Amino acid sequence: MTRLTTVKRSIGRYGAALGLIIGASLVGSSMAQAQATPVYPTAFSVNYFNNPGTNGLDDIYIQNDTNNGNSISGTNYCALIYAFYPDQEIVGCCGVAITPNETWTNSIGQLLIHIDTAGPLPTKGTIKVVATNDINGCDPRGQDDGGSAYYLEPKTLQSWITHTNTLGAPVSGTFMTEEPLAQTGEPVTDLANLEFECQTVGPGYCGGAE
Amino acid sequence: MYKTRMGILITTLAALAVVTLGANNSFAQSTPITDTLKTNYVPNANLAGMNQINVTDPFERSSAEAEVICAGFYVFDQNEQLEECCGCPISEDGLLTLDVDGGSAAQQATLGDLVSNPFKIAGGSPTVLPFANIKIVSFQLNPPNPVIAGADPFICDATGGTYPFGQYPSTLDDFNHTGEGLATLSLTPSLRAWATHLQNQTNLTESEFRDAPLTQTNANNYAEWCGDIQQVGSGRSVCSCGSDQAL
Repeated sequence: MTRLTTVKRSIGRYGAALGLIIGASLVGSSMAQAQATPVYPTAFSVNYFNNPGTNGLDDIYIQNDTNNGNSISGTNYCALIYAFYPDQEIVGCCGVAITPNETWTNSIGQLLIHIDTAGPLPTKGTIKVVATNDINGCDPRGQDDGGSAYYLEPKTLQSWITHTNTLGAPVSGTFMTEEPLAQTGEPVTDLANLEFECQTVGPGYCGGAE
Repeated sequence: MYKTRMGILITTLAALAVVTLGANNSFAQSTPITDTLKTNYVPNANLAGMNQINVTDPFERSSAEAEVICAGFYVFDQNEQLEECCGCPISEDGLLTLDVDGGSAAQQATLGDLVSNPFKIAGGSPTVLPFANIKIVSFQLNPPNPVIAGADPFICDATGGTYPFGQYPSTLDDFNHTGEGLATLSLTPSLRAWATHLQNQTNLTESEFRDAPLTQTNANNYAEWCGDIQQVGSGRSVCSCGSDQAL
């Protein structure tokens, strides 16, 4: 009886200390990892736009490269497009279905006019393209229209954007550069955030040529 | 007897926990943290208005990612010398645009963002860098500072607190010199950046900043080095976040 009581007291006395030690270990471990972790391959890509009204020179290209002509059959995918002002506020959004081996394109100027339902048109900002399965009519608002949740589809769409740069003396002239959109490795939850932001301004129309 | 055994057990577990924490910390210090360092170069950097750098934070706000993070710029010359550094806040999906050298010769000291206020001097005045190696470190906003509470919530101190000259409101500089060896940056992914390059003074190209490995130790070294040149520079060595706030 006495022995059992001693054991219980010991457990009670040291249990708290043990809990603290284990808790501290767990907290220490989690603190070291408390940061977002990029995930690759990714369905998210990003770049910036500038001078969208400069003679309509800047373009964006999005290609569905899922049909390699041999064993892999092609599938339609949605390109969900979200544009932002430099201060992070959303300009507008749209979605477009892209068929296998198709390259959709539009000028940045026209794209922004189509999706900026509230204005003002930005002079520069960021643009994000998300590759998903082809459902909901590629509505960038996601389930806001009662449709199904999108699945992210990495390694299906490739995107490029051109930038017009006007330089003064001593070079003087207009120069165009081009880049692929950067892969971002964002977590899947980012799509829900983008859809929500899109819901606040309403979807626009991507327009463009197919 | 049971008490003794229990004591030994607890002591052993405590020691194990300490060792584990130490090992974790050591591992974290020496293991590259994904997507926290980007690097690029700028030729003809001293020609005003010719080269631009654009930076964005593509990650949306979440429990693991703050809405506003910092882009720490560390500008090196061709001799590996750190010449300028600064930290700039940037919000999710925001766009930070920097003119590498933003003004005429007379304006360079105040308008050039990254190469116009270097540590090096020649003939008694700063020498604008003709070529720059630019590294961008992404890190969390500095912890709240009781001295400046409410003055500016978006403090991005690229010195990690070593000597944040120019990183805080000027009237508060004197309160934030925390001394050598205390430089820490809380790294977080995941900025994306692009730089235009004026090639041969005739053509313009552009490229995305490339990813490079960065350990916590290396990041802290950058921060402390940044503090060192800003302290010795007495106003030099501090770059600018430009006129457009990406917030």
